[in-house]
Amino acid sequence: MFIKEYLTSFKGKLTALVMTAILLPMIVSSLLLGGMLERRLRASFESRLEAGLKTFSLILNNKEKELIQGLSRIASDNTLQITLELGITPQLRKYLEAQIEVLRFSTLIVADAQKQAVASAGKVFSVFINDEGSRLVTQGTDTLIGHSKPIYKGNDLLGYVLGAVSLKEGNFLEYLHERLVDKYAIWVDGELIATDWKFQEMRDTKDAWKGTDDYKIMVKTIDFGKRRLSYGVLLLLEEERREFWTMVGLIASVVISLFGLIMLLLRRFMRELIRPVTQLTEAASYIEKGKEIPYLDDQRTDEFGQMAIAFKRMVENLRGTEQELKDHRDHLQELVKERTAELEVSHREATELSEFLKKMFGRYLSTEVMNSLLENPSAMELGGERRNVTIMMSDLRGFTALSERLEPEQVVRLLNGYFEVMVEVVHQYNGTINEIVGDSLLVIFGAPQEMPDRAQRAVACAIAMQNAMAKVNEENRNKGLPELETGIGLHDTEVVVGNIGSTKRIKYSVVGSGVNMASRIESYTVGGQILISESVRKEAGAILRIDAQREVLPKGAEEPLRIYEIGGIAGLYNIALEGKDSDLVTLSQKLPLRYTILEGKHIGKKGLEGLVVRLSKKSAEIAFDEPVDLLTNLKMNLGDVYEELAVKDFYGKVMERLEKNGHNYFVQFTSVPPEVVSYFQAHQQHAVKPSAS
Amino acid sequence: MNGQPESYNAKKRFMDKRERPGGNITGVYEKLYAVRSMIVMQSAIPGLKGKKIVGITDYSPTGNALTAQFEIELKSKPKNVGWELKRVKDWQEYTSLIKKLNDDEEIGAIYPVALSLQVSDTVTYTAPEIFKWTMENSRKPEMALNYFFAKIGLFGGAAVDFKAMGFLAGKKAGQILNGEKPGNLSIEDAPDYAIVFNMKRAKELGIDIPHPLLTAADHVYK
Repeated sequence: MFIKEYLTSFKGKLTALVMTAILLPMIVSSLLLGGMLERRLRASFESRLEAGLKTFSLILNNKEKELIQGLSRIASDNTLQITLELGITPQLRKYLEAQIEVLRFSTLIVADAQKQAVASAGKVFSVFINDEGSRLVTQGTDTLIGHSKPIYKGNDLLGYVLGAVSLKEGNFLEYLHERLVDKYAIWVDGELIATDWKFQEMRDTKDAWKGTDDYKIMVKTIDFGKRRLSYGVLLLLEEERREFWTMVGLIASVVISLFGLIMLLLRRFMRELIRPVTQLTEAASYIEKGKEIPYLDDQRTDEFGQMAIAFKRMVENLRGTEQELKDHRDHLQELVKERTAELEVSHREATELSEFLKKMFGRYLSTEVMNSLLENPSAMELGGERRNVTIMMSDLRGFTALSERLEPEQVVRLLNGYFEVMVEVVHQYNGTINEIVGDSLLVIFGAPQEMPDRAQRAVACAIAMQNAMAKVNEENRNKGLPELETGIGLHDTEVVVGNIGSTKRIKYSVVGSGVNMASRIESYTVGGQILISESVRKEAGAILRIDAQREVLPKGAEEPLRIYEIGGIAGLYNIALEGKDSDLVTLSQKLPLRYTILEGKHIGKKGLEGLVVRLSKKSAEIAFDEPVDLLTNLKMNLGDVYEELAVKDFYGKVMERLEKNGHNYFVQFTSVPPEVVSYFQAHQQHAVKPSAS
Repeated sequence: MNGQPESYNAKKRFMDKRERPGGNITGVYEKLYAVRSMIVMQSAIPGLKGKKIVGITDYSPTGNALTAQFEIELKSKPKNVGWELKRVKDWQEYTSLIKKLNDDEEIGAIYPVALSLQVSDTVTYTAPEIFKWTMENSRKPEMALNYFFAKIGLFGGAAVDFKAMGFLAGKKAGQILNGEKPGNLSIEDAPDYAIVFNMKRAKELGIDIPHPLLTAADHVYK
């Protein structure tokens, strides 16, 4: 821990750096020197062993050469020849003894022409060498190099002279020991016969020849006939190692001495270098604690002296500015207090405003959209952007006529009850209620928040709204109010959305022809029906259940428009329309009626006649006296069959042509007064049978 | 301590056998190496080939012994040289024989070992006198029985090596002194013989002895 702290300090780092700068080159150079020394030693071993082996070979060759030359001379010596020829063995023996003394052979033997030994001198052995080649001869414990020469007098073979030199006895080994610097060893046929080292312990010559950690060896093998003579010189490593380590020790001593000297110098240098740093560090610490700074050596002429002077000046400046900072701090604290109070007021106001906005806009926006807007108030800024949205337009069928029949309070109650439920449904699907005008509801999906599944949400929302009408009508029935039907049109298109208005009155609105198109599509609906445009179908995908489709030509449009009647949607929302109209029943008596063709909301052709053939709660099969365009809105009256109903118009939309050649059409009622409903119900009870078609 | 020929023991038994004599008897037998000496003479004297060497003994006990030794050793004679033994009774017969042999061309050399010759009833010549006269009157090279004879003037040859005999006798004495019974030590032949030549006598006789033989000789007297 102490070491870690020390090494992280400037003093420790500087010491480590300087020591590394000194020690590293010393260690590297020592290692290189050691490595070089070792290589030199190895090379020296090799050359020394090679030289030793050459010397050994030379001695051996000389020995053999002397033997051969000596024998050649003896064989040609007349004295030998005459003593052999005359058989004067004592003189022959004396001659051999004199020769062996001179030649320093181990053995001299003279044999007659029949190879029978006649006289000998020196070591006696029984092995006779037949040719002139050298042979290895083992005699007892001794091994000799033997050679023979024939003795001729003229052309007469007198006999043979055989000589041998011992590799073990005599002066050979002493001579070898004197001449060789290192140890030697001699093997015959792999068996050790002589050495001046402890080779006796090594029976296996191959192991001996490999060398060990104790010695290095170099061996040479030569053939003597069928026998092998191996000889080697070996270098004892113990002594070499001792020398090596002595050298290493010497180098290490020099390195350590140098290191010690450098450390002494370094210590003094470091003290000089570190002292001002320590003083400055302590001074900084004292300043931090608010104490008076200790002594700083500003008399130094180096950079540390300049630093000390600068440090002192800095301390003086700090003291001067300290009071200023305190004043500033007090002032700032006052400001903070004031600002905090202001902010608290603002926050309170903002909270109140937020609550107010939530209450206000919560009616038009879903909670998520509203929260998003509150979190990002910039979205409320004036301005707009192009955005792909799905526009929903709903409208109560026959409400205009209904509102004329009801008291204003009833109309308001009816609408409030209706919108209460619808707005709730729209919020569930994160739709943004852009506008409520009369009985119409304009909802957009995809703005202000982006919605990747805006079309699917819009369709699902429309279905949920239609299904929620049962709840609305149940409430109406309980309150004695008439039931309502709504038609919903959807269109997906690019529009401009944004905050439109002035800084005093602003409204998040949607602008574009797509709004009108949604309204036109909605105008083709009957109660409980949902119609969508091609763009919605494409955007929503294949999960839509399409119950019918047809082409219409809206007013002012150049191209016919294909619209689709939606029965449900699969996928994530998985919802379908509930409570479809009951089946048509054939009336026992056809009811005559008069009808007027309405162009949109306007009354058109009048006084036309038709017959109600079949009837259900919300629709009827009517045989008109002339062709009628599909989706035409009709105003109908039963005044011809029941006088009291002459002022009770009811409305419907031509949905389908039932006979190809006739004028029978399926008409969906869009608004039917209660009196007419009662009249229809009475007729339905007397119906002949349920209609098959 | 002198080994005698086997024939001596046959005549008057004094030992069991040479290899184990028994009693207080042992010794070194003064073998003449006569055949070897004749071969050496053949080598030393080129003209000896095809001629004869005449041995001369007397009738003294030594002469008898030498005669017997010649008979034993010369059972196998060397090739190319003949052998004939002459025994002389006295000095006159010796001198006559020498003179006679001088004139005989068949005789290549003589081996004079008659070492005790009666000149008169009171005078008996021994080796010095005999050899002195012989060297003055004989023209045949003389084989020397031992190297002492060559030293005093005989031509030489393979002579009895008293030195070697003495060394062997001394060795036996040493064994006896170390506790060995003499009767357990065999009687051995003289182990060696010496090649000796007297160069003065050779010069007188006009004989040029081959140099290798001289180098092989144990003693060359000048």
